[in-house]
Amino acid sequence: MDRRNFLKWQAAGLVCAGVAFNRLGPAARAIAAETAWPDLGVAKGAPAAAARAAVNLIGGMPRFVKPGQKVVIKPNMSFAMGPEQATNTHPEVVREVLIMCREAGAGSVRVLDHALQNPGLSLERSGILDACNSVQRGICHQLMDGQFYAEAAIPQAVAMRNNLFMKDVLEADVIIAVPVAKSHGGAGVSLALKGQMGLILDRWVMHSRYSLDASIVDLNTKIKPHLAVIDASRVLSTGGPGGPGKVLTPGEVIASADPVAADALTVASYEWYGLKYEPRQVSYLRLAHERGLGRMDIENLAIQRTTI
Amino acid sequence: MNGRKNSRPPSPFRRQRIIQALSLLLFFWLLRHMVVTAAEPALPPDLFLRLDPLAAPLLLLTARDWLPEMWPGLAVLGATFLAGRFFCGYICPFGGSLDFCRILLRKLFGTAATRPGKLDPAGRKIKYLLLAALAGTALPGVNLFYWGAPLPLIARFYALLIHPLLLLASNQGLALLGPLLAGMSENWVGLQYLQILPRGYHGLFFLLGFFGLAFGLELFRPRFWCRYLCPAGALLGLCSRRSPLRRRVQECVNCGKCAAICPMSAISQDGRQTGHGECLGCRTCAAVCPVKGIAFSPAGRIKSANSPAALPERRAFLGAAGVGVLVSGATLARALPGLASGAECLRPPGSLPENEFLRRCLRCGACMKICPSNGLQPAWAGAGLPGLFSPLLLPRRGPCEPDCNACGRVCPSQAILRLPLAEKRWAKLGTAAVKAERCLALAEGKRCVVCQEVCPYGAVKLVQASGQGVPVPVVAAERCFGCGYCEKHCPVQAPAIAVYPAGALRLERPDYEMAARAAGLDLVPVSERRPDAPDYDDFGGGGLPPGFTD
Repeated sequence: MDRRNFLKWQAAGLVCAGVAFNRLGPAARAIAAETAWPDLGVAKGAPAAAARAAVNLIGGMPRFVKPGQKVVIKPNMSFAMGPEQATNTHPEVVREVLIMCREAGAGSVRVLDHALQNPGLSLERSGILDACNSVQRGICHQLMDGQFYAEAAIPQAVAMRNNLFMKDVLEADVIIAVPVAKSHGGAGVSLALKGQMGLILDRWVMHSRYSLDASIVDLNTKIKPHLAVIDASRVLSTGGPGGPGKVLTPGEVIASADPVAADALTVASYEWYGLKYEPRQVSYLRLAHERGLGRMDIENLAIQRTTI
Repeated sequence: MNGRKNSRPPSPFRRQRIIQALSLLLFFWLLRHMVVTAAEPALPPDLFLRLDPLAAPLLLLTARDWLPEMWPGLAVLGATFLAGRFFCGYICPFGGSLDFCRILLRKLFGTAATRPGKLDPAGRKIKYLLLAALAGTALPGVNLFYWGAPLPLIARFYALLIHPLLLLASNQGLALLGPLLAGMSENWVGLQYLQILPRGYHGLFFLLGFFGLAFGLELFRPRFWCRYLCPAGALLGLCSRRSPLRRRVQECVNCGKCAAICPMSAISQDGRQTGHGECLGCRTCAAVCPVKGIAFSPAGRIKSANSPAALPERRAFLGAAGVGVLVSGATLARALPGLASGAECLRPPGSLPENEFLRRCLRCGACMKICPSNGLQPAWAGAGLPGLFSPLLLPRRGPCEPDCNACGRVCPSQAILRLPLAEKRWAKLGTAAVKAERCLALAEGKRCVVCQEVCPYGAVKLVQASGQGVPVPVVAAERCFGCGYCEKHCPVQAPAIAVYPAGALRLERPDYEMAARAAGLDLVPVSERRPDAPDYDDFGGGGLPPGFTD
């Protein structure tokens, strides 16, 4: 897509949004929004610009965040290492999503995770704490203490029927997953769906008591992200999720209202361990698709691409 | 207000209380700075521990080495020859805690509760015999003086018992305040996420019992510990018997007020004789003397004899020392390889070889206080009898952080060497091993790679053999530091991967990098490896990469 086309799309988006907001009733607005935008937006460029462009391709942040709403952003920031290792989301991507949420008029935005490695060092070295603080102080946290979590049932679960969820997540109007694209020795890849494991207190039962694949899908029936912005500015192609591994640099960001589709496109777009794979070869994606959580059949989905 | 009282200069007794309180506050301030995140305070955080007048000389015996870190304790000893037991009266935080505890107890139970007692030589001999026994154990090189060294003891009390209780109270307080903070404006959002994580330690009931007794005995006699039991007090008492700066009686009306009020009961009933080895120089006697006839000066008009019978007889001294030697023999025999289990435990990074380590470790708890993960814990039975209360790493509680060398920085006796981070990185603690019969991947065929996920060194490889449905973890020993991240996070209840001290480096000199490289170790954290050059890759051979399916 060239610059002109890109501007056209953006203009169309603005007009559409304007019409939807001013003229149509809420129900019609929702239908119009769901039908008017491509399923997936892929933008290539510098991390922040690509994140903004990818979200704009699928309707812009106002499609997802309404004024006054509570938003939780879930990046990967639980490893005490810098962006070059590709184990954490790029701080610029997180920052841009945060800015977009505030531009859309969000009432409150939180950037939350539950670290595996040293929480303070992870915040610091990932660069995400500084990036968030430059926008709004005090909203980026590793929630390690049980007081921030509340027990909740997962009504549509087949395996994991309850867990302790971050209270902020249970109370959120909008959840935005902003994972880095990386391989995962157990699950194949760790993207938007898998990343939601950072929003509960006891993720270990998902390994020990249940099938990891089934419980990832269970978890997402409860806290499925409303928007997935996958940071493929760098892709940890091998050795994930903790590295060290081979880091590819596609310089892309993939956005979708359907996290299954976003994950599926990410799987199909890049090489994992030197080879290409289909989304169905990641078993929890196949399961999520089968259980109706989203679509992994990207060949049937509308994908819009742009380069900045 | 009483104008006359106000115009009076502060009495020496008050001055002692003020200095004592300041010393205690400084002790607390330094303990507070015994955390990794704090900027280095102007004074070394372990300053008080190095002041211990018992540990300093006995470490010379047990360590068989000159420890420059401990010179302040020797300086205290030297100064005592001149000025008496000023350390006990003005500086020692144990003594200060006892004094302030007694003031509190008096408030609670009335002034009659604590009677000063008499200059009773019989009971006071105990501390000298304890000193002789501990010196006896130290002579062949066995460190049992941690039972009597007052500063490590009191540091352990505050750092491992009081501090965790305060944290717990703050944690619970924050939880109670939570709803209140949640209602605050977005400008104060950071407050909603204040987290004070509780810490805890093994052996707290021992500390509770020991100090409960020490403080409770204040009801029976003031400074019970100091006058009857403290071997450091005994040593300082021996040094202060001829000190020039001591209690001198210039004028006396035989009223006996000084004898009645002396907190150490170091004055004879007539007020003229002084047990100089017992006197703390607090000058309470000078403050109450109706004729202002008492001075702490090099010379006095009325001859004040040392109270004669405060010391045990020579044969009792020798007997106690002999018992000490016997106990040390028993400890040494118990510490033979195969009987002691300290070497079979995980010690802090940079710990000396086990025997050297035990000779030096003061059991002060500084390393445990500062350990950011709370993984360093006092041994109970875990390190065998010779290793009682010494620090062990319990990874299940908390791993050894790759970028932390705090324990060595605060170890007063350098049982844990002070290593720069670049050197500490090579101070391998042990090696992780997978217990195949418990591992979720190996035993149950489940998708679990948590150990690989959390390993900061990239030492856990995943291997998906052709016959296996799921990738399974394999530890690369040369990459494994033994930090325990895998053991900490293993989702199995009794962890299926655990660190053993196999391959641990315990050196007498800080030459860890050289030794580690000689042993073929490759201990570079993932965060510092060049990302685009994975130097191992077990995946290959046409199968699927870990986690993918057909």
